[in-house]
Amino acid sequence: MVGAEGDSGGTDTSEDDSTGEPVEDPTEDCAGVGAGLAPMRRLTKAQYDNTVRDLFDGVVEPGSTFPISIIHEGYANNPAANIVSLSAAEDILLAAEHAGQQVIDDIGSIVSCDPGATCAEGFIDDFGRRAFRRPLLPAERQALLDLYVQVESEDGFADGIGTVVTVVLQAPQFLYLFEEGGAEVEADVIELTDFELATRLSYLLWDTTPDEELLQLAEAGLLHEPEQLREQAQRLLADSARSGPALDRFFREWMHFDGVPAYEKDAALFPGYDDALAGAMDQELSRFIDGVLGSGEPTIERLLTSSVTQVDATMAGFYGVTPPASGWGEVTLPAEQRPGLLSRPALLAEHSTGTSSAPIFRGRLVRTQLLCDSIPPPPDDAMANAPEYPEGATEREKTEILMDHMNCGACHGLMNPIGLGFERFDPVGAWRELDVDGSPVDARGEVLSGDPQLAGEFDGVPQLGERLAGSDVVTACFANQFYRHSLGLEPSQALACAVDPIEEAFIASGGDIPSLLLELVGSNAFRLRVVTEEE
Amino acid sequence: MRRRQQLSRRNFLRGAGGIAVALPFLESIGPARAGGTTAPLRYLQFMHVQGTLMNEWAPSGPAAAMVLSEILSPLEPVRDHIVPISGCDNPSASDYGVNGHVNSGRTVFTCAPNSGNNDLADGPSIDQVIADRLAAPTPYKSLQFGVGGSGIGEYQALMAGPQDPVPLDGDPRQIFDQLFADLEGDPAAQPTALQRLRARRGSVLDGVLDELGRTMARASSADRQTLERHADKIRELEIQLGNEGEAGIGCGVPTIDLPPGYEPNDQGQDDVSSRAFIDLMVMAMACDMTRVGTLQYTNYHGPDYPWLGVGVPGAYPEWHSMVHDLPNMSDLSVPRAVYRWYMEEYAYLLQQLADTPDGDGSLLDHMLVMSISELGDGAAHGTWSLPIVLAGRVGGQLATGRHVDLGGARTGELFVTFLQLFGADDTVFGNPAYCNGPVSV
Repeated sequence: MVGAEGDSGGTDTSEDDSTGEPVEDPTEDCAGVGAGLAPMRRLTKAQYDNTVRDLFDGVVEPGSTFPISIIHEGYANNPAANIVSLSAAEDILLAAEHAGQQVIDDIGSIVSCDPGATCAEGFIDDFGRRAFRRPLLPAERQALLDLYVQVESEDGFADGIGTVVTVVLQAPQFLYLFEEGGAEVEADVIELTDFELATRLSYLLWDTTPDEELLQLAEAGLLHEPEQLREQAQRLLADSARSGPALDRFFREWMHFDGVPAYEKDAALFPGYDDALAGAMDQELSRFIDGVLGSGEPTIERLLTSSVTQVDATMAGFYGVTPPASGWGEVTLPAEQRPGLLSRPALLAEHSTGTSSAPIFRGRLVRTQLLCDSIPPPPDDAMANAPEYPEGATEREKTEILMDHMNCGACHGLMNPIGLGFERFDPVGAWRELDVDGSPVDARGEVLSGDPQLAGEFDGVPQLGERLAGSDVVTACFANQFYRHSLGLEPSQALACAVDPIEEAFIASGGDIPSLLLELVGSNAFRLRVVTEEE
Repeated sequence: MRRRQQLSRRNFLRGAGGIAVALPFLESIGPARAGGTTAPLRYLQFMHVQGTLMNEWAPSGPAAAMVLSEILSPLEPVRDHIVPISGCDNPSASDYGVNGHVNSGRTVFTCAPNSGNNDLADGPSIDQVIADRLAAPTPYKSLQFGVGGSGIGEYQALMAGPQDPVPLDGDPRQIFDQLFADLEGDPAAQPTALQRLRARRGSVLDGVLDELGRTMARASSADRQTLERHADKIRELEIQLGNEGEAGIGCGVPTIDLPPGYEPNDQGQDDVSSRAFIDLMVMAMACDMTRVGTLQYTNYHGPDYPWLGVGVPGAYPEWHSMVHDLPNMSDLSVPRAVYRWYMEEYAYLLQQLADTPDGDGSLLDHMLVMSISELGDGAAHGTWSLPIVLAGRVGGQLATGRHVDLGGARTGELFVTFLQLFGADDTVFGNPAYCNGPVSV
């Protein structure tokens, strides 16, 4: 419904069927060179906060009022989810005033020249270029200068500068990743300017505004060749203080993990699950992913199968292993219990209800996020017509009832049989040998698929992880998800001829995640943009 | 009632110092409406958490001679102003799949579940719809305070529309600065940087509109629509910020007493901050800064209510798990004290509203106030028979001082009645599957 309100043009068709299935024939849009769609994106809250800190070298705190980002159809930078409402406009104003006030009060830390007209002009040129991520257009420069002159005449230099900042931080050139593009490379395809590419690169890999080196390369026209982009991407990735959190946000959004549990755990059933444990699980997830990316083999296969993680005292207690002497330390967990991303407690707890292990949620996660399949939404009367389950039934028994109930099996067959493979993990992600009825847990599952690499029965997450890790479908899906994340695209907007070459290269690389990032930033899907018909 | 500084027109003009132009809405506070004229209608909702002890909550005796239960007993001094409501359910919560906190919190004011289990509600909350229908010329469309901090997570209860959450303000000092700081202090003092910036909001937003126009001229049609909508909202914001409101004779600057070590998110001090938030809200209404408000107690999980001197029994890790175990507890004195405390705060709010003159009566006389919780019986975590206490006569439209049993009506239907009390002609609210039109209260 957001899309319906947002009128995001003819490409936003997944709103109507909510299946995420590509619904258009994309080949006619990408004109053969592999350009993709790129709707305008608003900065996420994290990007705004980082950007304000970086624009003022940490002197100005962003405050807390910038609107939170809504995650819609996958990723927080989806434009349809972050349409400016009245309260958002007000919150953006308050956030900008908060920054402007700090600039006025601490003007000596913001500008180093002697207050006056020349100094103000220099500030507007420099700050404007960094905030808009390109040199100001003459009309933009003049408008800011006029504002400065007017305010300066009433309240002095600092107020003039602070007011300019307050406007710039609300201006669309700052708030939106707006890509006008440059030359047309062929019909309906334009290439992005070097400045626009610097911006894409920086917000993708750092979640913040381009640094001086990127801006200077853009100014010199040295940032549009694939090799130039890849070289800069390597530099950005090497700065793990900035690239780490940015990549971590991708993994969390991909795994539908936003840190706010969807279901509160039943404290009587799970007395040990408290805020401290949940917080430790959350940290462990990031440390596990960091460990894979930082290992000698940063592949999708290792992501899905590695038993190496980090624990603190809390997680060591949870896993039943020896805690590190202090802080966090690396451990290798039993491969038959805790292999890969899918056995991370934070994700297992997130994709459960407060009382049940929820094979539906766990199976849906695998189906939509790892296989990139779509699942139609439940019919409106699904809950009203839900079957009755006997008291104390296991999830396996409930699934058997559900699969035979009315038409439920048609869709639940895509989810529940995969989710049952997770049954050795309880609703807070702890290992269990016995089911809720006291019987030994049966964790056999099945992947329904037309793909022979994927299809078939399996027993437990270790076998499921191996199966997924060896699948080209999963490898391609990961590349597709990262591409969508990079441009805030809904599934239907990932044009096949833009993303296919990226998927193929990722498969050819053996699922090497850093190679994927480098492949993407040098690709035509990243460097070019399709001009849609109505433009 | 707390001491507060009464404001004359002179106070206002002096208090505003050299920045009268900054806050145009204040200029009209001076020539306040004289007593005896009618006052605008207002709406305020008060949400406490974890339901109640539903078995013992309801008043007993004849409707018009109701005997308040122990939990409701703090409302005795304002009993003539209230209407406790029994038998009003929120079945829309169950549409989310299970009846947990996400479901109850996100539907309690919206009645609009989202079929995606983890998504925000599918429609606006009742406070925002009332504000839309009133379209009042106030500087704020609505104000919403989070007692215990602004973090709500599962309990994103207020929505301006689908996927458009309304955040809570959780810091009383920041709210004071936003609403009242310009009105007090040394009249001779220089305005602060923030006050000066706010004085220039008109030029700042005009500057933003110019940039939007410049960018639009270069945008594709889809992007242009996004930018046009953004520009529309800036124009609405300019109008809203330029609104003057019609301050009543009770308008003044509240005195916010917070201890020096107070931290906004420290829920161990909710007893202190609760009164501050209430005082701020009452004066925001009296000064006509808004006509719609929400007070939401945000910590449903781990507060231990140290000011009550009872403490959560050691067998439970936190308050929430104790609530789940209520059926197994023989001594209910602790939960009873906690649920009663929320009603003490509600009673304080109502008393303040009743003591603040407005038009030909009090603020409360011209208001509809609702206390509600996301759950009915806390132990069951169910959304049946929510503990609702209405208050205020809504300008003579609501007969108060009696108990009403709605016998299984639904919240969507009650909220249609609210809308009609505010002069709207709505016949449905939220998901129509849970709403058959207004109920009679």
